[in-house]
Amino acid sequence: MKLLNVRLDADDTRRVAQLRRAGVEISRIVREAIRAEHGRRTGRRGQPRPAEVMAAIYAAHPDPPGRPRRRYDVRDRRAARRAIVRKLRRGRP
Amino acid sequence: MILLDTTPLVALCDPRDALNAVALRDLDRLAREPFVLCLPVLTEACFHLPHTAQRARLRRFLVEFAVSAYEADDEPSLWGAVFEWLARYQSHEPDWADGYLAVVSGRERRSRIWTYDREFRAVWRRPDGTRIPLAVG
Repeated sequence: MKLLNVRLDADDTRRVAQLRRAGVEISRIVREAIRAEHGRRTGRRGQPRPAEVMAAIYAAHPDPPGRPRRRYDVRDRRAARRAIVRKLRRGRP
Repeated sequence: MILLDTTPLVALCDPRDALNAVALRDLDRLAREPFVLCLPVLTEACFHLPHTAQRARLRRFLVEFAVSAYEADDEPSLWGAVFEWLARYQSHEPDWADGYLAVVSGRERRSRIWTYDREFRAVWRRPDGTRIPLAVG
């Protein structure tokens, strides 16, 4: 992990001291400022891309090992309908 | 406004679905527009996503992408229009969700449907006979 040194004038030094006394983590502020500026310049404004959001969702809710794949194509309406009917029948007494 | 159909929802929430990569690519392009979901589509998607992890992913998707529920001003009148639409296309065996989307598309003139069903492109039309605007290919 890289270390970043930043020169501060007297006023900023005083501000940093006040923030630290208030319990603020300066390194966190610096990281957030870097990300925000980078996002602004690259047009992403700090928002993750949709694929990144989905990747996080997949990571948080993985399929249990060994689960078989669906055996029909959802676009095949007859196969999809048969699957739904099978499921509905299963619930009947 | 993008009206979500069952096929992209299932493809996004099942990483092993054959259309998952396509759906992720389309999501990247479409995510700036508001997504709207009709209850029949959500119900149908849950039939195809029966497992706990799949439904947890579906729920997170709806939250993360701020998907709104479609609310009709007059639901019974919409049902009537859907029944008429289903009767018109009965030879193609449409499902309730298909008819619902086609009718809502006719009511929400600026909407586009995100679907991978070929019939929306090739066969089905809005109740007034005009083409159904689609969000992908």
